[in-house]
Amino acid sequence: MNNEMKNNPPLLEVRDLKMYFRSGKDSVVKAVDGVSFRIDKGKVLGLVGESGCGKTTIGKSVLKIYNPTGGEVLYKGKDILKMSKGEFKKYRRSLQMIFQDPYSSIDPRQSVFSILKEAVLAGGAKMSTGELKDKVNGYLETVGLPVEMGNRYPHEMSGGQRQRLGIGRALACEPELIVCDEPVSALDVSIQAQIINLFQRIQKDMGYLFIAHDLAVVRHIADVVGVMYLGHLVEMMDSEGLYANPMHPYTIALLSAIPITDYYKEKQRKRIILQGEVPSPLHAPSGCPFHPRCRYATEECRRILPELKDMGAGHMVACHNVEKIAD
Amino acid sequence: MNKSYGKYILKRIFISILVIFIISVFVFSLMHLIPGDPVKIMLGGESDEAVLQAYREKLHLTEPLPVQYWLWLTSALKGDFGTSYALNGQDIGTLLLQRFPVTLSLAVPCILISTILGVLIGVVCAVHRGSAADQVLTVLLTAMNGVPIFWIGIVFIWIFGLQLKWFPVMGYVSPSDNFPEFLRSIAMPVTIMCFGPLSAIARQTRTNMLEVINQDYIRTARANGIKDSSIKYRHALKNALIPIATIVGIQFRWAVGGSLFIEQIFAINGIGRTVMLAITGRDYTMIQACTFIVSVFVVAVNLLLDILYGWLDPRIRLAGREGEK
Amino acid sequence: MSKKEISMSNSKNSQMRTFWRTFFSRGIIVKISLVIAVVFVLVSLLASPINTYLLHQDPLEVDLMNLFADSSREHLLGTDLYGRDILARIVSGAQMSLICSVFSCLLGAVIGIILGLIAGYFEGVVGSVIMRYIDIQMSIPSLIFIIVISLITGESLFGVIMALAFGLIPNFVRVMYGLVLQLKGSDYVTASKLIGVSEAKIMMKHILPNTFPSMIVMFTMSLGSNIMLESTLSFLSIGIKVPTPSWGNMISEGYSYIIRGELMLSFAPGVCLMLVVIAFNILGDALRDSLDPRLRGKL
Repeated sequence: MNNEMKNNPPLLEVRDLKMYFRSGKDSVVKAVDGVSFRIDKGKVLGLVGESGCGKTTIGKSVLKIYNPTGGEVLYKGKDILKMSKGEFKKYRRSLQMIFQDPYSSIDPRQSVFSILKEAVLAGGAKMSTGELKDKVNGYLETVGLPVEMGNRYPHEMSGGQRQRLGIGRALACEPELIVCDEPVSALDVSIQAQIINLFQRIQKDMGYLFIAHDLAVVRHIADVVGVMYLGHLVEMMDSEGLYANPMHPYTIALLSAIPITDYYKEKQRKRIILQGEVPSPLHAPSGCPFHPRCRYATEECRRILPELKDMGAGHMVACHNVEKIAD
Repeated sequence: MNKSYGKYILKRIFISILVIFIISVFVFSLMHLIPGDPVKIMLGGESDEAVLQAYREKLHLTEPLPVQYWLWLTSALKGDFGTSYALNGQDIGTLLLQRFPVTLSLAVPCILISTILGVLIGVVCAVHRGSAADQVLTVLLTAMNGVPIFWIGIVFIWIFGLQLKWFPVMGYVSPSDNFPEFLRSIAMPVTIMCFGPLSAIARQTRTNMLEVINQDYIRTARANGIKDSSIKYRHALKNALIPIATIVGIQFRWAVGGSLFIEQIFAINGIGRTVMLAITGRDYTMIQACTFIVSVFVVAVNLLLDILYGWLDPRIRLAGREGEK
Repeated sequence: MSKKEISMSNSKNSQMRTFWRTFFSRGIIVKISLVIAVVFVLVSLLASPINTYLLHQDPLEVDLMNLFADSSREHLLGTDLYGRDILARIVSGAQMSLICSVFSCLLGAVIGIILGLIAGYFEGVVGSVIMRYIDIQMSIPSLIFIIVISLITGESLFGVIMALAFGLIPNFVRVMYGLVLQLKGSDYVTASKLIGVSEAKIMMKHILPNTFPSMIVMFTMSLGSNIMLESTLSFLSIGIKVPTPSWGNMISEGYSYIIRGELMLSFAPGVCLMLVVIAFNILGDALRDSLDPRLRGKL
């Protein structure tokens, strides 16, 4: 088994990732506090959680945009965090990102064609003007933008079109892993579905780290879903299992908030309304981060940070009282 | 007083001292870059070499530069800036002491009037945006900004001094001697000095107020039913004022520079006129001293403004209690 | 403001059209300023031919029999204290102002932009050193600083241009620094890094062009203020010296004569100066508002 794993390491494996920010002299913001997961080729890991839970930070750390405080990020088995700039260069283009804000993620002074052209050529590839044009038009077509768009400028495009452009730009690097940082939150609901479908169409063998705060969106596209709270991963499971049988109190509350279209079923549902608000990461609670808002909290929860335990079939949960809650 | 505010002040003071030190090096080196032999100029071209050399040694001009600098700095800190030859050997220190208050009596009223009037006009323009008054005032302010001060001074002298004879054409009366006459003698110079700062402050206030007024929290207050004027004058104004402190600092520098030719035109013996005399007379020691003193003063004023600004801006004053991410 | 529908027109043209439309809709004052500025530039460029062929006057020609003459057909604005034709001197003075201002602005802007770009992009030690220097230079009142620099570089045309350029540098560095810091953090810069674009290319292709609107506005406003500064310098007898005409030294020459009622020498160049500087200021304002209304008040 080990040999097989050595020869076929997962596309991405994150081990005990920590990202601490200093705030002032004494306080530290633990944006990400010991998170581990893996993404296999052709799979999608969805990462959900409220604002501030650390999911964007994870995304940026995985791509080496931030330099994490601790942990390992293994891309195809090699720790990219330890690499020097020169060593990492050959992997740079394989790891791409789709940004949340379609307006700020594109240079307002560049035309669509020039943006894609830059993406194609930045890897050092040399080609004739004709080949370049074909390649760029190819990407435009892949993401569903008309070829005439080449002359357009960002301010003349809608949010959805810009996002497609962003996806095209990422694709032009021929990446193997794409971190999608809430790529549809800034878009109209009607457009969201189209973009999600686009993501699925182009995926092929790529891995996605799909970050979102909307559970409904993630359900559709993710193979595995991880739920984050205040810098910790509290539950992780393949998406069907998670939605059918959530075990962590936080996940349960989150899922109960998704409206069901059937009026009567909706009325009968037991809504779990969480008390309080997400605490500031500057003053993270002791022990389990969720305990101040958890109706099942015990003394143990206050003192000891629960670890992720496998509750069967790969369903990881970090809670001291999982069994009791299931009833 | 908050601990971090205290730290902020200390840091500012430390930086200011450092800046003053570097300015002194700067000023000193600049002076030595000016072409021409100072001693020759001082003694006229006639004297023979031996006399020139003796004079050079007396002024320590033969010593290596760092030594010269050190000597200059140490005596300067004691208040001894040497003697001015352009003004017949008077002690520069005493000269500056006499003339500085004169310039201040121009600069301070100028800044006060510009700030108060400027803010008022800016607020009025912002509040009554688009009205005839606003449009006229805005044009006027732009014009004030572009008017060549030295020229307008001459125009004023012509109109108000020579034709209407309202104000004295030149000269300065000390406030302790005769207060009404003092006011009359500074009326024109101060008014003219105000053109630049007033227009800048008014325009900046207007812009800031407009920005703030359009912001969401003001709209919310309005929606909540708080009286319009109360909103404008309390909420908006308070927040719009904060960047004003920076502007005042900049205008102060300007006022000091402007006094150079204002004093020239109106023949007022302040620092400005003294600097001009030193420059035309190629009196290096004096130029050095004046530039240094004026710069130190500007740094000091900026320091005070920084401290005030830190107090006004609650983010600086209260930082450290509840940190923001 | 932003067009959501896909129009068939070439987008670059439509951007320009929107720009001009906003620019001119600001009212008649902008149009007048533009006219003044254009007239100024034309007169300055064609100063010699104008003097020789149009006015038939030599700005340097002394006529001691004709001091302070009234305006006549020969001397449209009269003569000065040496009998020289005032209008011809004003025309030459315009050329002087334009040369000093344009070259010093170009020099100051280029140096300022480069320094600001480096300081903002690389930050670190280099950035700190540059910004500290700027702080120090800004602590010295600019007029005094410029005067001292003129003394060092020699009181000639070259000296004045150098001095004015020096005085201008901090403004450009400061604004550029702020802009670069802000732009550095944008998502599209991050995206460019991800794609693998080199740092140098990011600086030149992505950050620098996005600073152009602000830089153009600053440049226009600096033109106006440098014209003013050059006049101030020559008024103080530092810089362009008589007999070479400059608006500033003309005003200064005429100053002592206003008591005798001879106003033209002092007033005429001043009026020109005022009109030109105000015109450039208004143009700068209008440019800023039409290029990006968000910049209002920040420049």
